Amino acid sequence: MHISEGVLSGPVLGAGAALAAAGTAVGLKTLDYEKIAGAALLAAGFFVASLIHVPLGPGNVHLILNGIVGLLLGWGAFPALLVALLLQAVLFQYGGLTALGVNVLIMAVPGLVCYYLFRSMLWKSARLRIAAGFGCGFLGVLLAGLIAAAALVISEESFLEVAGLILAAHVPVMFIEGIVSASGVAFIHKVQPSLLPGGPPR
Amino acid sequence: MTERSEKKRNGTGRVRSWVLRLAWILFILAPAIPAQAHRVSVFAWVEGDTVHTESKFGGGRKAKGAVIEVYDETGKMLLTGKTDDNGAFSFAVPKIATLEVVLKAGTGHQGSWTVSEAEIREAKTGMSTGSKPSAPSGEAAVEALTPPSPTGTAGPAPMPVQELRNVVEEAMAEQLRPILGRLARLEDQAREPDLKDILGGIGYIFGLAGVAAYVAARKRNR
Repeated sequence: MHISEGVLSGPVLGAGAALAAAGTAVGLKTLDYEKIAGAALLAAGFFVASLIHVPLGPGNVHLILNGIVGLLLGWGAFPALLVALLLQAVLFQYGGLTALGVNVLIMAVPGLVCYYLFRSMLWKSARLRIAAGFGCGFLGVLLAGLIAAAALVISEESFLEVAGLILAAHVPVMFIEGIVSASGVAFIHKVQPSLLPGGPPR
Repeated sequence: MTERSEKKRNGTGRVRSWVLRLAWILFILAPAIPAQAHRVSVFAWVEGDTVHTESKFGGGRKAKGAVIEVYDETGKMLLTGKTDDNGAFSFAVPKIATLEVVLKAGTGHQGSWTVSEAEIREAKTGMSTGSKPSAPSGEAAVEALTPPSPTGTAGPAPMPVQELRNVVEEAMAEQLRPILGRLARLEDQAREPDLKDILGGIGYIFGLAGVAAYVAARKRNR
């Protein structure tokens, strides 16, 4: 779901960069001393996950993990994903430097939405927690596809067509990510519940 | 004092938990197959006055039915077409100029390849001089190369073997030079991220985390 260099028009790239910069600024404020190591580890996880590709349909798919990065970091997902995407662009020419802002938005905004939607569900019951984890993975990919399609619509044909293509290619990924995220949330809850946003109820 | 040490212990607990999380991430990723990259590349070469292009996704999968657009240096689109089932698309040289071949594989995937003016000229002249003395068919070319029958008196004397070898080698080197150059570019473009790159990236991330931790610690101590 990386958008390559030279695909998008100038205004889209500019708006994307500005919004990503704003999100990163907010994110850096929320990243206090204790959260830095975690943000770096999640950034590294995201960085590696996007490199492992499995051929499927007309293109390739890979784990994205943006939903769970968002759930665990909140606004901190912006700087974490910015660093990971920057390195992917520089080292592997995935995406591109000019499209970096847009690509950060594609990944971080769904993560942030997941954070606000699902963090309260983590502490009610085990079933809800699993559902929240699955929702993170699923929605993270779904929203990322929609944002990517919205960014592409200006340079490509119709929104529905582009969105359909991207989403169709990622339907399996949504489910895989959902399962991965659900098991991840369950695992973290078992070994270190304080990592999940909100903390255990007192 | 005790409060402080407690805080510190809390910090190490957090770090330990992050290590656990990394272990979890690696555990999840381990079974996935490192198969393909998420990039499309297009490769173009000139033969005579036809430009051939080949498009594929990183890892070698052909980009089928992708759009190819050809631009000149001024950014004017000269022609457009679609790749076939082998990811190939060929077109006649639209004009003698540096051509930019852009591949649009949809949903934001794009790659490009530049064919230089010199390359086009070379291919064109190479073909015309090559085909002038004889018909372009292979059989005729072979015939032209074989020395005339011994009964013929007007034919040139056969070349000494060593000299012939030198001439052939020279011609081969001349012909292969641009191809080798293009091959190098192609290999560079198709390079997949290897372990070194990935570990390098992870190293950068941790280095940045160190910088961030340093800045945050300074802020906290002030």
